[in-house]
Amino acid sequence: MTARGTPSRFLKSVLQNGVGRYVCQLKRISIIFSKKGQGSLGIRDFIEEGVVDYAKKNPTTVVYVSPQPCRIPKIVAEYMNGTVREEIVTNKTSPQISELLAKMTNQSGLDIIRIRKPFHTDSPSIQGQWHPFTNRPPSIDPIRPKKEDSQ
Amino acid sequence: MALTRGAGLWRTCCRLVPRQPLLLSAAVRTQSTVSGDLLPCPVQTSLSSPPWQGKTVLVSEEEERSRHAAVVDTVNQLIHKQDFGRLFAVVHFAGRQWKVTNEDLIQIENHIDAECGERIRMEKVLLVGAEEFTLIGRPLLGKDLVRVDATVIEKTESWPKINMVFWKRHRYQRKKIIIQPQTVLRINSIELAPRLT
Amino acid sequence: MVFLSLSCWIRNRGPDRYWKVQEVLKHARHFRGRKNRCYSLAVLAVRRAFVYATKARRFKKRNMRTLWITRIAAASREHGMKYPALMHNLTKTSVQLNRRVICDLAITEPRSFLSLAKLARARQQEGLRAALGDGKEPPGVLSRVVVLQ
Repeated sequence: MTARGTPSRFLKSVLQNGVGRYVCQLKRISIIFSKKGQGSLGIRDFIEEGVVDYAKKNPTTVVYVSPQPCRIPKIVAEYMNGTVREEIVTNKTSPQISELLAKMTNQSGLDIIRIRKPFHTDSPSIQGQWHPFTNRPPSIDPIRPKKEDSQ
Repeated sequence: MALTRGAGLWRTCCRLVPRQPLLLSAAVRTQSTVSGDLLPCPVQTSLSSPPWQGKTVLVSEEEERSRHAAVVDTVNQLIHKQDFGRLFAVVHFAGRQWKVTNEDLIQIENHIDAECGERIRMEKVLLVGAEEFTLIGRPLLGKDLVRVDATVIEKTESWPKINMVFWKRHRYQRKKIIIQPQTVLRINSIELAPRLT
Repeated sequence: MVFLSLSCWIRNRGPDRYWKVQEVLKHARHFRGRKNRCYSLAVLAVRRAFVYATKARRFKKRNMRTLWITRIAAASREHGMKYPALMHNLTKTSVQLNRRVICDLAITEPRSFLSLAKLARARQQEGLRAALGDGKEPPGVLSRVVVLQ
Protein backbone atom coordinates (compact mmCIF):
# COMPACT_ATOMS: atom_id res chain seq x y z
CA MET A 1 0.00 0.00 0.00
CA THR A 2 1.25 3.44 -0.79
CA ALA A 3 0.68 6.22 1.68
CA ARG A 4 -1.42 8.17 -0.87
CA GLY A 5 -3.43 5.13 -1.83
CA THR A 6 -4.62 4.26 1.65
CA PRO A 7 -6.57 6.39 4.13
CA SER A 8 -4.64 8.09 6.92
CA ARG A 9 -5.41 9.54 10.31
CA PHE A 10 -3.76 11.56 13.05
CA LEU A 11 -2.45 10.00 16.24
CA LYS A 12 -5.09 10.05 18.92
CA SER A 13 -6.39 8.10 21.85
CA VAL A 14 -9.90 6.98 22.67
CA LEU A 15 -11.48 9.46 25.10
CA GLN A 16 -8.10 10.77 26.43
CA ASN A 17 -7.15 7.38 27.82
CA GLY A 18 -4.15 7.74 30.10
CA VAL A 19 -4.61 11.32 31.29
CA GLY A 20 -6.35 10.10 34.40
CA ARG A 21 -6.66 6.36 34.68
CA TYR A 22 -5.63 3.84 32.01
CA VAL A 23 -8.51 1.67 30.81
CA CYS A 24 -7.94 -1.44 28.71
CA GLN A 25 -9.71 -0.82 25.43
CA LEU A 26 -10.70 -4.40 24.71
CA LYS A 27 -14.31 -4.95 25.72
CA ARG A 28 -15.20 -8.43 24.58
CA ILE A 29 -13.55 -11.47 23.02
CA SER A 30 -15.58 -14.24 21.40
CA ILE A 31 -13.74 -17.41 20.43
CA ILE A 32 -15.63 -19.32 17.72
CA PHE A 33 -14.32 -22.80 17.03
CA SER A 34 -15.53 -26.28 16.23
CA LYS A 35 -15.32 -29.22 18.57
CA LYS A 36 -14.07 -31.67 16.01
CA GLY A 37 -12.51 -29.72 13.12
CA GLN A 38 -8.82 -30.26 12.48
CA GLY A 39 -8.07 -26.53 12.05
CA SER A 40 -9.39 -25.79 15.55
CA LEU A 41 -6.88 -28.06 17.25
CA GLY A 42 -4.73 -25.16 18.44
CA ILE A 43 -7.77 -23.30 19.72
CA ARG A 44 -8.95 -26.32 21.66
CA ASP A 45 -5.51 -26.67 23.27
CA PHE A 46 -5.53 -22.98 24.12
CA ILE A 47 -8.97 -23.28 25.72
CA GLU A 48 -7.79 -26.22 27.79
CA GLU A 49 -4.67 -24.43 29.05
CA GLY A 50 -4.57 -20.70 28.61
CA VAL A 51 -8.04 -19.15 28.47
CA VAL A 52 -8.68 -19.12 32.21
CA ASP A 53 -5.31 -17.51 32.94
CA TYR A 54 -5.94 -14.94 30.25
CA ALA A 55 -9.38 -14.11 31.63
CA LYS A 56 -7.99 -13.74 35.15
CA LYS A 57 -5.16 -11.52 33.93
CA ASN A 58 -7.57 -9.16 32.15
CA PRO A 59 -10.54 -8.71 34.46
CA THR A 60 -11.94 -5.86 32.37
CA THR A 61 -12.39 -8.04 29.28
CA VAL A 62 -15.28 -10.49 28.85
CA VAL A 63 -14.35 -13.78 27.21
CA TYR A 64 -17.01 -15.78 25.37
CA VAL A 65 -16.21 -19.30 24.23
CA SER A 66 -18.68 -20.63 21.69
CA PRO A 67 -18.15 -24.03 20.09
CA GLN A 68 -20.11 -24.10 16.84
CA PRO A 69 -20.07 -26.27 13.76
CA CYS A 70 -17.86 -24.00 11.62
CA ARG A 71 -15.16 -24.55 9.06
CA ILE A 72 -12.76 -21.79 10.14
CA PRO A 73 -12.12 -20.89 13.78
CA LYS A 74 -12.17 -17.17 14.54
CA ILE A 75 -11.48 -14.75 17.36
CA VAL A 76 -13.76 -11.72 17.31
CA ALA A 77 -12.57 -8.76 19.41
CA GLU A 78 -14.77 -5.77 20.18
CA TYR A 79 -13.30 -2.50 21.42
CA MET A 80 -14.61 0.43 23.40
CA ASN A 81 -14.99 2.67 20.37
CA GLY A 82 -17.12 0.09 18.59
CA THR A 83 -14.56 -1.42 16.22
CA VAL A 84 -14.90 -5.14 15.63
CA ARG A 85 -11.83 -7.12 14.56
CA GLU A 86 -12.00 -10.69 13.39
CA GLU A 87 -8.87 -12.82 13.26
CA ILE A 88 -8.82 -16.20 11.59
CA VAL A 89 -6.81 -18.70 13.65
CA THR A 90 -6.94 -21.88 11.53
CA ASN A 91 -3.99 -24.19 12.07
CA LYS A 92 -2.36 -22.00 14.69
CA THR A 93 -0.69 -23.44 17.77
CA SER A 94 -1.69 -22.57 21.31
CA PRO A 95 1.30 -20.26 22.08
CA GLN A 96 0.72 -18.42 18.80
CA ILE A 97 -2.90 -17.84 19.77
CA SER A 98 -1.96 -16.52 23.20
CA GLU A 99 0.53 -14.12 21.58
CA LEU A 100 -2.17 -12.93 19.23
CA LEU A 101 -4.56 -12.39 22.10
CA ALA A 102 -1.92 -10.41 24.02
CA LYS A 103 -1.39 -8.20 20.97
CA MET A 104 -5.10 -7.58 20.58
CA THR A 105 -5.44 -6.74 24.28
CA ASN A 106 -2.74 -4.10 24.00
CA GLN A 107 -4.35 -2.45 20.98
CA SER A 108 -7.03 0.14 21.09
CA GLY A 109 -9.76 -0.05 18.53
CA LEU A 110 -8.40 2.71 16.27
CA ASP A 111 -7.74 1.80 12.62
CA ILE A 112 -4.34 0.47 11.66
CA ILE A 113 -3.70 2.87 8.81
CA ARG A 114 -1.01 5.41 8.15
CA ILE A 115 -0.55 7.80 11.05
CA ARG A 116 0.46 11.21 9.78
CA LYS A 117 2.48 12.48 12.72
CA PRO A 118 4.06 10.46 15.52
CA PHE A 119 2.96 13.01 18.11
CA HIS A 120 -0.16 14.91 19.12
CA THR A 121 -0.48 17.99 21.31
CA ASP A 122 -3.51 19.95 22.30
CA SER A 123 -1.40 22.93 23.35
CA PRO A 124 1.49 23.20 20.89
CA SER A 125 2.64 26.67 21.91
CA ILE A 126 3.26 27.86 25.46
CA GLN A 127 5.11 31.11 24.92
CA GLY A 128 2.95 32.20 22.03
CA GLN A 129 3.10 31.02 18.43
CA TRP A 130 5.53 32.97 16.26
CA HIS A 131 3.97 35.57 14.01
CA PRO A 132 5.81 38.11 11.84
CA PHE A 133 5.58 40.81 14.51
CA THR A 134 6.98 38.73 17.40
CA ASN A 135 10.56 39.85 17.09
CA ARG A 136 9.96 43.26 15.56
CA PRO A 137 10.02 46.27 17.85
CA PRO A 138 7.04 48.53 17.23
CA SER A 139 8.03 51.20 14.72
CA ILE A 140 5.35 53.68 15.68
CA ASP A 141 5.04 55.03 19.18
CA PRO A 142 2.01 53.87 21.13
CA ILE A 143 -1.10 55.71 20.06
CA ARG A 144 -2.14 58.23 22.69
CA PRO A 145 -4.80 60.95 22.65
CA LYS A 146 -3.31 64.24 21.40
CA LYS A 147 -2.54 66.81 24.07
CA GLU A 148 -4.46 69.93 23.24
CA ASP A 149 -1.86 72.70 23.12
CA SER A 150 -3.16 76.20 23.51
CA GLN A 151 -2.02 77.99 20.41
CA MET B 1 35.37 5.75 -12.97
CA ALA B 2 37.78 7.51 -15.30
CA LEU B 3 36.03 10.80 -14.71
CA THR B 4 36.39 10.62 -10.92
CA ARG B 5 40.03 9.58 -11.12
CA GLY B 6 40.73 12.46 -13.50
CA ALA B 7 38.99 14.88 -11.18
CA GLY B 8 41.08 13.62 -8.27
CA LEU B 9 44.31 14.21 -10.19
CA TRP B 10 43.12 17.67 -11.18
CA ARG B 11 42.36 18.48 -7.57
CA THR B 12 45.84 17.46 -6.40
CA CYS B 13 47.44 19.43 -9.22
CA CYS B 14 45.44 22.47 -8.32
CA ARG B 15 46.74 22.37 -4.78
CA LEU B 16 50.38 22.70 -5.92
CA VAL B 17 49.82 25.82 -8.01
CA PRO B 18 48.75 28.31 -5.33
CA ARG B 19 51.66 27.29 -3.10
CA GLN B 20 54.15 29.24 -5.19
CA PRO B 21 52.50 32.65 -4.98
CA LEU B 22 52.16 32.06 -1.19
CA LEU B 23 55.91 31.45 -0.89
CA LEU B 24 56.60 34.61 -2.82
CA SER B 25 54.30 36.68 -0.70
CA ALA B 26 55.64 35.34 2.63
CA ALA B 27 58.22 38.04 2.72
CA VAL B 28 55.60 40.57 1.85
CA ARG B 29 53.10 39.27 4.43
CA THR B 30 52.30 41.80 7.05
CA GLN B 31 51.51 41.11 10.67
CA SER B 32 48.63 43.40 11.13
CA THR B 33 47.54 44.32 14.59
CA VAL B 34 44.07 43.60 15.79
CA SER B 35 42.60 47.03 15.90
CA GLY B 36 44.05 48.97 12.97
CA ASP B 37 43.27 48.72 9.26
CA LEU B 38 46.06 48.01 6.81
CA LEU B 39 45.63 51.23 4.87
CA PRO B 40 43.37 54.16 5.65
CA CYS B 41 40.49 53.83 3.16
CA PRO B 42 38.10 56.66 2.53
CA VAL B 43 35.49 54.14 1.29
CA GLN B 44 34.17 51.40 3.59
CA THR B 45 33.66 48.21 1.56
CA SER B 46 32.87 44.69 2.69
CA LEU B 47 36.57 43.85 2.72
CA SER B 48 37.96 47.06 4.17
CA SER B 49 37.91 45.68 7.70
CA PRO B 50 38.11 42.13 9.02
CA PRO B 51 34.74 40.54 9.81
CA TRP B 52 35.46 40.22 13.53
CA GLN B 53 35.93 43.94 14.01
CA GLY B 54 33.27 45.74 15.93
CA LYS B 55 31.54 42.50 17.00
CA THR B 56 32.90 42.14 20.52
CA VAL B 57 30.80 43.98 23.08
CA LEU B 58 32.88 45.22 25.98
CA VAL B 59 30.97 44.67 29.21
CA SER B 60 32.92 44.53 32.43
CA GLU B 61 33.02 41.19 34.21
CA GLU B 62 31.43 42.53 37.38
CA GLU B 63 28.45 43.90 35.49
CA GLU B 64 28.05 40.60 33.67
CA ARG B 65 28.19 38.71 36.94
CA SER B 66 25.64 40.99 38.56
CA ARG B 67 23.28 40.63 35.58
CA HIS B 68 23.60 36.84 35.66
CA ALA B 69 22.99 36.79 39.42
CA ALA B 70 19.84 38.91 39.01
CA VAL B 71 18.48 36.57 36.33
CA VAL B 72 19.24 33.44 38.39
CA ASP B 73 17.60 35.06 41.41
CA THR B 74 14.34 35.83 39.59
CA VAL B 75 14.19 32.36 38.08
CA ASN B 76 14.89 30.77 41.47
CA GLN B 77 12.06 32.74 43.02
CA LEU B 78 9.63 31.75 40.29
CA ILE B 79 10.52 28.11 40.67
CA HIS B 80 10.30 28.26 44.45
CA LYS B 81 6.82 29.73 44.37
CA GLN B 82 5.86 27.31 41.54
CA ASP B 83 4.65 30.39 39.76
CA PHE B 84 4.81 29.05 36.23
CA GLY B 85 1.88 27.90 34.10
CA ARG B 86 2.35 25.08 31.65
CA LEU B 87 5.79 23.52 31.31
CA PHE B 88 7.30 22.04 28.18
CA ALA B 89 10.36 19.82 28.02
CA VAL B 90 12.66 18.46 25.34
CA VAL B 91 13.21 14.79 26.09
CA HIS B 92 15.59 12.34 24.43
CA PHE B 93 13.75 9.03 24.12
CA ALA B 94 14.04 6.05 21.77
CA GLY B 95 16.84 7.70 19.80
CA ARG B 96 14.80 10.81 19.06
CA GLN B 97 14.23 14.15 20.70
CA TRP B 98 10.67 15.16 21.42
CA LYS B 99 9.25 18.52 22.49
CA VAL B 100 6.68 17.49 25.03
CA THR B 101 4.01 19.05 27.28
CA ASN B 102 1.42 17.63 29.65
CA GLU B 103 -1.27 15.38 28.26
CA ASP B 104 0.21 14.89 24.85
CA LEU B 105 0.77 11.71 22.85
CA ILE B 106 3.97 10.26 21.45
CA GLN B 107 4.38 7.26 19.18
CA ILE B 108 7.55 5.16 19.33
CA GLU B 109 8.44 2.80 16.48
CA ASN B 110 9.59 -0.10 18.63
CA HIS B 111 8.67 -2.33 21.51
CA ILE B 112 9.03 -1.17 25.11
CA ASP B 113 9.29 -3.61 28.01
CA ALA B 114 6.61 -1.92 30.09
CA GLU B 115 3.05 -3.20 30.02
CA CYS B 116 0.04 -1.13 29.00
CA GLY B 117 -0.96 1.21 31.79
CA GLU B 118 2.44 1.35 33.51
CA ARG B 119 4.06 4.66 34.40
CA ILE B 120 7.47 5.46 32.98
CA ARG B 121 9.90 8.17 33.99
CA MET B 122 11.88 9.78 31.15
CA GLU B 123 15.31 10.60 32.42
CA LYS B 124 17.16 12.35 29.60
CA VAL B 125 15.75 15.86 29.68
CA LEU B 126 17.58 18.41 27.53
CA LEU B 127 15.54 21.55 28.04
CA VAL B 128 12.66 22.71 30.23
CA GLY B 129 10.71 25.87 29.61
CA ALA B 130 7.76 27.84 30.87
CA GLU B 131 6.32 31.09 29.69
CA GLU B 132 8.77 33.29 31.57
CA PHE B 133 12.00 31.27 31.65
CA THR B 134 13.87 28.40 30.01
CA LEU B 135 16.36 26.02 31.58
CA ILE B 136 18.85 24.73 29.02
CA GLY B 137 20.82 21.63 29.91
CA ARG B 138 24.43 21.20 28.82
CA PRO B 139 23.64 18.63 27.52
CA LEU B 140 21.27 17.13 30.12
CA LEU B 141 19.43 18.57 33.08
CA GLY B 142 19.78 16.90 36.46
CA LYS B 143 17.42 14.15 37.54
CA ASP B 144 16.73 15.95 40.81
CA LEU B 145 15.60 19.05 38.91
CA VAL B 146 13.04 17.81 36.39
CA ARG B 147 10.73 14.83 36.40
CA VAL B 148 8.84 13.75 33.28
CA ASP B 149 6.24 10.98 33.75
CA ALA B 150 4.50 9.04 31.02
CA THR B 151 2.03 6.15 30.73
CA VAL B 152 2.06 3.43 28.11
CA ILE B 153 -1.35 3.52 26.44
CA GLU B 154 -1.22 1.26 23.46
CA LYS B 155 1.11 -1.31 21.92
CA THR B 156 0.07 -1.97 18.33
CA GLU B 157 1.66 -2.69 15.01
CA SER B 158 2.18 -0.21 12.24
CA TRP B 159 0.25 -0.28 8.98
CA PRO B 160 1.81 -2.71 6.49
CA LYS B 161 4.48 -0.74 4.62
CA ILE B 162 5.60 -2.10 1.28
CA ASN B 163 9.28 -2.29 0.39
CA MET B 164 9.73 -2.92 -3.30
CA VAL B 165 12.95 -3.17 -5.31
CA PHE B 166 12.85 -3.30 -9.10
CA TRP B 167 15.73 -3.19 -11.57
CA LYS B 168 14.65 -2.66 -15.13
CA ARG B 169 15.82 -5.01 -17.86
CA HIS B 170 17.27 -7.38 -15.24
CA ARG B 171 14.13 -9.34 -14.30
CA TYR B 172 14.70 -8.55 -10.65
CA GLN B 173 11.95 -7.47 -8.33
CA ARG B 174 11.43 -8.13 -4.65
CA LYS B 175 8.42 -7.14 -2.60
CA LYS B 176 8.48 -7.18 1.19
CA ILE B 177 5.77 -6.12 3.64
CA ILE B 178 7.13 -4.54 6.79
CA ILE B 179 5.08 -4.33 9.97
CA GLN B 180 6.77 -2.64 12.90
CA PRO B 181 5.68 -2.73 16.53
CA GLN B 182 4.56 0.66 17.83
CA THR B 183 4.01 2.03 21.31
CA VAL B 184 1.92 5.05 22.19
CA LEU B 185 2.84 7.00 25.31
CA ARG B 186 0.84 9.72 27.05
CA ILE B 187 2.96 12.29 28.92
CA ASN B 188 1.29 12.68 32.29
CA SER B 189 3.26 15.41 34.02
CA ILE B 190 6.40 17.53 33.99
CA GLU B 191 7.57 18.69 37.42
CA LEU B 192 10.27 21.16 38.42
CA ALA B 193 11.91 20.83 41.80
CA PRO B 194 12.42 24.01 43.86
CA ARG B 195 16.17 23.79 43.90
CA LEU B 196 18.66 25.41 41.57
CA THR B 197 22.38 26.10 41.98
CA MET C 1 -20.61 -41.31 -31.12
CA VAL C 2 -18.90 -40.71 -27.89
CA PHE C 3 -16.09 -38.19 -27.60
CA LEU C 4 -13.92 -39.50 -24.81
CA SER C 5 -11.00 -37.11 -25.11
CA LEU C 6 -13.15 -33.96 -25.05
CA SER C 7 -12.84 -33.66 -21.29
CA CYS C 8 -9.05 -33.90 -21.50
CA TRP C 9 -8.91 -30.75 -23.62
CA ILE C 10 -10.58 -28.52 -21.04
CA ARG C 11 -8.01 -26.73 -18.90
CA ASN C 12 -8.82 -25.51 -15.44
CA ARG C 13 -6.60 -22.46 -15.11
CA GLY C 14 -7.27 -21.80 -11.44
CA PRO C 15 -10.31 -20.55 -9.56
CA ASP C 16 -8.75 -17.43 -7.99
CA ARG C 17 -7.92 -15.15 -10.90
CA TYR C 18 -10.52 -12.53 -9.99
CA TRP C 19 -9.17 -12.08 -6.48
CA LYS C 20 -5.54 -11.99 -7.57
CA VAL C 21 -6.37 -9.29 -10.11
CA GLN C 22 -8.36 -7.30 -7.56
CA GLU C 23 -5.41 -7.39 -5.16
CA VAL C 24 -3.37 -5.42 -7.68
CA LEU C 25 -6.18 -3.16 -8.90
CA LYS C 26 -7.11 -2.04 -5.40
CA HIS C 27 -3.76 -0.24 -5.15
CA ALA C 28 -4.41 1.47 -8.49
CA ARG C 29 -7.88 2.84 -7.90
CA HIS C 30 -6.71 6.43 -7.43
CA PHE C 31 -4.59 6.51 -10.62
CA ARG C 32 -5.41 8.44 -13.74
CA GLY C 33 -6.52 6.96 -17.05
CA ARG C 34 -6.71 3.29 -18.01
CA LYS C 35 -4.13 2.37 -15.39
CA ASN C 36 -6.88 2.26 -12.79
CA ARG C 37 -8.99 -0.25 -14.73
CA CYS C 38 -6.89 -2.47 -16.97
CA TYR C 39 -4.81 -5.11 -15.24
CA SER C 40 -1.76 -5.20 -17.50
CA LEU C 41 -1.33 -1.42 -17.33
CA ALA C 42 -2.08 -1.37 -13.62
CA VAL C 43 0.61 -3.93 -12.78
CA LEU C 44 3.34 -1.68 -14.16
CA ALA C 45 1.96 1.46 -12.56
CA VAL C 46 1.54 -0.18 -9.16
CA ARG C 47 5.08 -1.50 -9.28
CA ARG C 48 6.42 2.00 -10.00
CA ALA C 49 4.29 3.40 -7.20
CA PHE C 50 5.71 0.95 -4.68
CA VAL C 51 9.29 1.60 -5.78
CA TYR C 52 8.75 5.36 -5.55
CA ALA C 53 7.24 4.94 -2.09
CA THR C 54 10.27 2.95 -0.95
CA LYS C 55 12.72 5.54 -2.27
CA ALA C 56 10.68 8.44 -0.92
CA ARG C 57 10.98 7.13 2.61
CA ARG C 58 14.73 7.78 2.39
CA PHE C 59 14.37 11.17 0.68
CA LYS C 60 11.83 12.36 3.21
CA LYS C 61 14.48 12.40 5.93
CA ARG C 62 16.80 14.52 3.80
CA ASN C 63 14.06 16.94 2.78
CA MET C 64 12.85 17.39 6.32
CA ARG C 65 16.38 18.16 7.49
CA THR C 66 16.87 20.85 4.82
CA LEU C 67 13.51 22.33 5.76
CA TRP C 68 14.52 22.51 9.42
CA ILE C 69 17.82 24.11 8.50
CA THR C 70 16.09 26.73 6.35
CA ARG C 71 13.68 27.59 9.14
CA ILE C 72 16.41 27.79 11.78
CA ALA C 73 18.46 30.03 9.48
CA ALA C 74 15.49 32.37 8.98
CA ALA C 75 14.75 32.51 12.70
CA SER C 76 18.36 33.14 13.66
CA ARG C 77 18.67 35.93 11.08
CA GLU C 78 15.80 37.66 12.84
CA HIS C 79 18.03 37.79 15.90
CA GLY C 80 21.10 38.94 13.98
CA MET C 81 22.96 35.66 13.74
CA LYS C 82 23.58 33.22 10.91
CA TYR C 83 22.76 29.53 10.89
CA PRO C 84 26.34 28.14 10.86
CA ALA C 85 27.36 30.49 13.68
CA LEU C 86 24.33 29.48 15.76
CA MET C 87 24.76 25.73 15.37
CA HIS C 88 28.53 25.78 15.82
CA ASN C 89 28.32 27.83 18.98
CA LEU C 90 25.50 25.70 20.37
CA THR C 91 27.59 22.57 19.90
CA LYS C 92 30.55 24.34 21.52
CA THR C 93 28.42 25.04 24.59
CA SER C 94 27.51 21.31 24.62
CA VAL C 95 23.81 21.86 23.96
CA GLN C 96 22.78 18.75 22.07
CA LEU C 97 19.41 19.76 20.69
CA ASN C 98 18.75 18.51 17.20
CA ARG C 99 17.54 20.59 14.28
CA ARG C 100 13.98 19.37 14.45
CA VAL C 101 13.56 20.48 18.06
CA ILE C 102 15.30 23.83 17.51
CA CYS C 103 13.00 24.44 14.54
CA ASP C 104 9.94 23.60 16.67
CA LEU C 105 11.16 25.94 19.39
CA ALA C 106 11.66 28.72 16.86
CA ILE C 107 8.06 28.34 15.72
CA THR C 108 6.16 27.67 18.91
CA GLU C 109 8.45 29.04 21.67
CA PRO C 110 10.07 32.20 20.32
CA ARG C 111 11.44 33.30 23.69
CA SER C 112 13.30 30.02 24.23
CA PHE C 113 14.79 30.37 20.77
CA LEU C 114 15.88 33.89 21.64
CA SER C 115 17.62 32.55 24.74
CA LEU C 116 19.41 29.92 22.63
CA ALA C 117 20.49 32.63 20.18
CA LYS C 118 21.83 34.79 23.01
CA LEU C 119 23.72 31.83 24.44
CA ALA C 120 25.27 31.16 21.05
CA ARG C 121 26.21 34.82 20.58
CA ALA C 122 27.83 34.99 24.03
CA ARG C 123 29.89 31.90 23.22
CA GLN C 124 30.79 33.39 19.84
CA GLN C 125 32.07 36.56 21.44
CA GLU C 126 33.99 34.61 24.03
CA GLY C 127 35.61 32.72 21.19
CA LEU C 128 36.43 35.92 19.30
CA ARG C 129 37.96 37.47 22.39
CA ALA C 130 40.04 34.37 23.01
CA ALA C 131 41.20 34.33 19.39
CA LEU C 132 41.97 38.05 19.06
CA GLY C 133 43.67 38.30 22.43
CA ASP C 134 44.94 41.62 23.76
CA GLY C 135 46.44 42.79 20.52
CA LYS C 136 49.90 42.27 21.95
CA GLU C 137 52.41 39.88 20.39
CA PRO C 138 53.48 36.77 22.28
CA PRO C 139 56.71 37.27 24.24
CA GLY C 140 59.96 36.58 22.43
CA VAL C 141 58.54 37.32 18.98
CA LEU C 142 59.63 40.27 16.91
CA SER C 143 57.55 41.37 14.00
CA ARG C 144 58.13 44.08 11.46
CA VAL C 145 55.66 45.62 9.11
CA VAL C 146 57.04 45.59 5.55
CA VAL C 147 55.04 47.24 2.81
CA LEU C 148 56.03 46.85 -0.83
CA GLN C 149 55.94 50.09 -2.74
